[in-house]
Amino acid sequence: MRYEVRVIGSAGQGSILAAVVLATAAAEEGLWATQTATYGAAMRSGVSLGDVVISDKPIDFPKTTELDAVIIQSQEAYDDMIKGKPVRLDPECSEADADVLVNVKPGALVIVDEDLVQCDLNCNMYRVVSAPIARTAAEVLGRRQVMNIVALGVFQVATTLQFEGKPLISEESFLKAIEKSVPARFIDLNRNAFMEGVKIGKEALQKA
Amino acid sequence: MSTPNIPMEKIVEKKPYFKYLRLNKMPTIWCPGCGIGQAFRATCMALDELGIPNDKVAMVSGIGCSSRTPGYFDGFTLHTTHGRAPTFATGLKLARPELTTIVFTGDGDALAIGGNHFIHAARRNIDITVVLINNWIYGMTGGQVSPTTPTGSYATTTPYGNYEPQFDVAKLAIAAGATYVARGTAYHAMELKKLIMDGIKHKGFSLIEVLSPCTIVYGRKNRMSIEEMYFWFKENTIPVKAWEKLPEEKRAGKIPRGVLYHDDSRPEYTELYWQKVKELSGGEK
Amino acid sequence: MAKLELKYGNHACAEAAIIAGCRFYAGYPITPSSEIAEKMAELLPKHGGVFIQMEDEIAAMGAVVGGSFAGLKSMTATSGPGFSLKQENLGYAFMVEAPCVIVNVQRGGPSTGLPTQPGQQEIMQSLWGTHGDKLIPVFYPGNVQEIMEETIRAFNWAERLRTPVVLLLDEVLGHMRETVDMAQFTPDKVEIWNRKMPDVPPEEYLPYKPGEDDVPAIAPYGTPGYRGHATGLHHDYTGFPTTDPEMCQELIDRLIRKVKNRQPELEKNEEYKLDDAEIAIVTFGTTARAAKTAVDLAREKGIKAGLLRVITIWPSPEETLNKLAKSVKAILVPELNMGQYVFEVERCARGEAPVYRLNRANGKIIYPHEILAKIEEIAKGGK
Repeated sequence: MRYEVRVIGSAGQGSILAAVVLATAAAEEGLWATQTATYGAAMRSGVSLGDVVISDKPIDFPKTTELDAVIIQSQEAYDDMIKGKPVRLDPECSEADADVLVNVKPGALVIVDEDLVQCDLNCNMYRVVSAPIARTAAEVLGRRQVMNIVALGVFQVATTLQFEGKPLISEESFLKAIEKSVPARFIDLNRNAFMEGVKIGKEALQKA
Repeated sequence: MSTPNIPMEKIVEKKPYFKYLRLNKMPTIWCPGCGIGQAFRATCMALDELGIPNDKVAMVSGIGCSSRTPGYFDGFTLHTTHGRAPTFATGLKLARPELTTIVFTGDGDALAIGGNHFIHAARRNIDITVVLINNWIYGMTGGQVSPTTPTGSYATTTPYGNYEPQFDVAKLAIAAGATYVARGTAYHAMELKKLIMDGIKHKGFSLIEVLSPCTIVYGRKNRMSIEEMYFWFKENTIPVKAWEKLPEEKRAGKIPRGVLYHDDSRPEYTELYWQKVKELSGGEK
Repeated sequence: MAKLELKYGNHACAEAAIIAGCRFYAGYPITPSSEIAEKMAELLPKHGGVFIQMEDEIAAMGAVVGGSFAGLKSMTATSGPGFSLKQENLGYAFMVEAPCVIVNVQRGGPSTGLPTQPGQQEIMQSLWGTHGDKLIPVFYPGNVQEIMEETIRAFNWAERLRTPVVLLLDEVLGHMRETVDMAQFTPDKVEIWNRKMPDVPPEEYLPYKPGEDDVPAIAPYGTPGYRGHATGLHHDYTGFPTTDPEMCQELIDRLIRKVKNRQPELEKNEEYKLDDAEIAIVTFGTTARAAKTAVDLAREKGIKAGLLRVITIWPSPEETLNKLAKSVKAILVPELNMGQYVFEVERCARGEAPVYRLNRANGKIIYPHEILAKIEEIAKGGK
């Protein structure tokens, strides 16, 4: 099993932290993981991303090549990621962009913020899960900054679509990972954010 | 190699500072009349008077005539790369704070290629005593101009005279943060011993600049005999107290010697570091 | 039982150094290695060790030798341009036999190059960068777990042979988080070697007299009675300069021999599907991870590919490479440089198999499909 995830958003939306929490949760679950980020000039201005590869055995190639899931936090990121030029969907994409633009597998999970991202994807090709992620962070938790962790909650639930009704990683592993990855004074806030994400994730799946 | 055939105990009885010498490595490579021997002797006498045993002294040097000194010193000695002695000494001192650490260096070694290391060791105020032999020239490589070569004098790379200004070593060290700065000469041997002794005693970065004649290389290039060079130091340096009283116009061409700067109030680097370690580790080493 | 934890590559290197017994770090900031210094700054004071940020790269290497002579296991980390600056004092460390570990997290060069992107351009500099002749062990791990293993192995060999050891990483490895099985690093699982101490009384002590293993037992500076001298000049058993031609040649012969004779013990490779391979890939570090995937992809297409991932880069696995060349039809050496280790592979292959290259120096890593394409080309008889 090799499972590739990208968290992508505008700079400041905590995409890399979300990727770190996700990879840590995988390790808590007893899975192998690599987490990479693209730095410097290779990045498009304003968009920030964190990649995670998860496997049940040690991982050979550590970077993503074909995504099983993508969490999209802003329109800008969506345009880059989906409407942009994924390397093997558009022959015009230059080799130099290969680090940033990778293929999204048919059947992949595409998790988008229902308020921030206008998503016109073909739902037959991808499993699109749209939820009020940023709104929940702002209104329920009072902190828009934790939208990245809310998104992880949605992701946790949504993976049941790909693994015969079971999630890839348990809630407990995510909660432990949060404890390990965020400063002590923010642990409760982030744990709550994750659980709210799980809640809206379940609602979104019922709607779909 | 000739070794004096006198039992060591006999010598040490008469000249106790001889216990710091590796007599079997003598004679030294220094030229007749060179002032480095004076500075070395003054250092050994200072250590003896302070009662610091051989096993408690590390001596570190870079490259050049003065940097050959540690080879003749019976302690823990490191002859390192050009200009870098303060860096090796910093590592050694931090790891072994109990060792009295002395750096022997020269004007080219400390102020040209090693200028950066010299000023940063001073800035940290680490407890290292630097004895800087200032002989105005690169002696070992055959007489090239150095950052302290007097303007107008000759070196193999200034065949038409040196038109660069000189570094003022003491002012540089004070500005960089050294907390003990003194200047002596190879002519004023006993005074030099006292200056080095106070430098070693001082907790913090100490610099003792030793004006020293390069008799063979600098002397020949500038037509000065051994005697003329030693007398030049006698005539042109004055004790700092007397110098301070001189009116500005009479200071021209004269060099003050003695303790130029001494500040005991600033904390020493290794002490600060190990204090922090004690707090964080509960004294475990 | 495995205890999986996610670790950042550069931090794993620092943590492993502490496990290996490192108690002295001097460094200078440079991307992409700075996180090693930052982690050591946090850890060392808590473990009763020394951390200092020096004024430049040269100074950091000097301080490391000072710390090593004081008896502490010592280390520094840097990247390309900083590694170049360290060469003079690295040569000194080799000459005076100061055990130490120098980590070089490779980025794109030459010059400032591509400071935030990966490269494998230090393969030659790690051995041949310094002036004069030199042979030192150079290790290059391929994942974060192995960063920890190789860091410990680097310290062990540095201490046993009294030599600098270079640990090569690359930007991808240094800046990657990956699962590590921490159960492998408990005190009962980790073997730690320490440098030998003199076994003679002080009056018979000759710091540079080698033992039968070609390694001298130099006492840490400050050990009562065991005073000594060290110099970068050619020296005799007392450590004092000499120009005696016999003594000088003996010294250089021994310095090289003490590493060269250990080559079989130092050798470490990962072999993957080489048993029936017709096309062998020889590479290391991040590129080897792409190569491993490429081997699987090639086999899916019916091409018998295999991988030799070299972990001990220097001294090179000469005999292993020669045997490999005899057993395959072609060798491919993909590297993130314009062709470095390929020269060594060609030398060791001694014409037994053609050696092909895949090179890149633009900051991008080599992807599995690119290696696959090259394998297919070779299999078809092209170049």
